[in-house]
Amino acid sequence: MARADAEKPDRSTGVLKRLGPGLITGASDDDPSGIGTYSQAGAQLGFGIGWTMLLSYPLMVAIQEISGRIGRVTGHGIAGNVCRNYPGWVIWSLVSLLSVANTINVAADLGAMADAAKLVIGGSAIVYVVAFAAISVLAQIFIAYKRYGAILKWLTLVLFAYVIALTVVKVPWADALKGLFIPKIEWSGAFLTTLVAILGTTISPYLFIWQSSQEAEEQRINPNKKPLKEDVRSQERELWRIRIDTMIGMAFSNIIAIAIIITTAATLHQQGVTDVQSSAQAAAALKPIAGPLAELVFALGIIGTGLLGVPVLAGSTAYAIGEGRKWPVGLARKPKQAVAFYSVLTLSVGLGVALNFTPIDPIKALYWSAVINGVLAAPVMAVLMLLVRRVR
Amino acid sequence: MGELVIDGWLYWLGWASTAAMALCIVGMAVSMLMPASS
Repeated sequence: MARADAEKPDRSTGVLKRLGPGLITGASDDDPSGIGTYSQAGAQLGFGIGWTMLLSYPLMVAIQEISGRIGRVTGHGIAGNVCRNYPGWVIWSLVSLLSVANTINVAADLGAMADAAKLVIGGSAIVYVVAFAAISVLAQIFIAYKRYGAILKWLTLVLFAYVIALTVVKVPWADALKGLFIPKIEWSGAFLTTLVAILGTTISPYLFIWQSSQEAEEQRINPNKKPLKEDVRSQERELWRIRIDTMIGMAFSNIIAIAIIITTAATLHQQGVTDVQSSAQAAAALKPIAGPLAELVFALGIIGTGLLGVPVLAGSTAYAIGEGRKWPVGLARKPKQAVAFYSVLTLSVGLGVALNFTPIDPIKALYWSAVINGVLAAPVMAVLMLLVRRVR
Repeated sequence: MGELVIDGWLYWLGWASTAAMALCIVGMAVSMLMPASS
C-alpha cells in the first residue's frame, strides 16, 4: 500500500462526530427479535450464557469492519461487488435467502413492537403493526437522508432503556460476572440451540449488507468523498474511522445484549420463568418480578429498537436486490430517482405486515428466519472473504 | 487492491468468524437431532 503520502489520521478528536454506519448497524443488531433471543437466553440458561457475548465481539467486529471497508473502498455495497465479481447464480441465491430471512424478521419485529405497544397503552396489536410499518417506510422515503441518519443515531440511545432496566432489578453480581468471564458449555440441545441463536443474531447478513451500503451511500452524498481505490491519500484516516466506528457500534450492541441477559437471568431465570419466546413476553413476565417500571422500560425499548431495526432490515433487502440488479439505489436519492429501490423497500415491509395477518406464528417464523440467517451467514461471509482478495 | 481492503490479522479474524458461523450451522443441526436421539 502506498502510505508514504497518506494524510496523518486525526485519531484524537471528533471520534464521536464520525460515528455513523458502524454505530447504527450495531444498534440495529439489538432489534426486537434480538432482544427476544437474549431474553430467552437469560431466562432459560441464566448467567452462564453471558460469556458468549464476549466471544462473539471480535468475530462480529472483524466481519463488520470488512463489510464497511468493502463499501468505502469500492463505492459499492456487498451485493454490488458480488454481482461484479461472481456469476449471477451466486448473487441471486444469496439475495433470495436474504430477502426471505429479512422479511420474516421484519414481520416478527413489527409483531413484537405491536405487542409491546399493546402492553403499555392497550388497543389493537394489528393497528400498531400497520402504524409502525407506515412510520418506518414513510420516514425512509420522505425524510432527507442526512436528517434520517441523524434520527437513527439518536434512536440508538433508546437502547439505554435496557441499562436502566438492569439498574431496577437486584443482580447477584458475583454470579453475573462469573457467567460473563468464565465460559461454561453444556452439552444439551437447549444450550447449543441458544448458542447458535445468539451467534446467528449477533452476526447476521443484513448487518453486513447495511454497513457496506451505508459506507457507499456516504460517498454519494458527500462530493469530497471518493471510493478509497481512487483516493489513496484518505485511506489510512478513513480505514481508521471505520475501525473505531465498528468497534464502538458492536461494543454498544453487545453491552446492551449483556444487560438484557443479566436482567432476565436475575429475574425470570431466578424465579423459574424459563419459557420466554419473545421480547414482549419477557417484558410482561418482568412486571410481577421486577415491577412495572422494568416492564415499561423494557417494552418502550422494544418499540424504539424496532423503529431502528425495521428500516435497516428492509433497507438491506432493497440495497441487496437493487445493487444486484444495478439499479440506482440509496436512501440519499429522491423517490423519483430510485423508484425500484424504494418499491422493494416498501414491499419488504408490506410483506412483513401481511405475515402478521396470516395464521403463521411470527415466533415460529422467526425461528426459521434464524435458521435461514444462520445457514446464509456462513456462505455470505465466505464469499465476502474471497471477495476482498479479488475486488478490482 | 485487496491489501487496501483488508490486512493480515483482520483477514484471519474474518475467516475465524466465518468458521465459527459454519460450526454454528453444524451445532444447529446437532441440536435439532439431539432431542430425537436422547
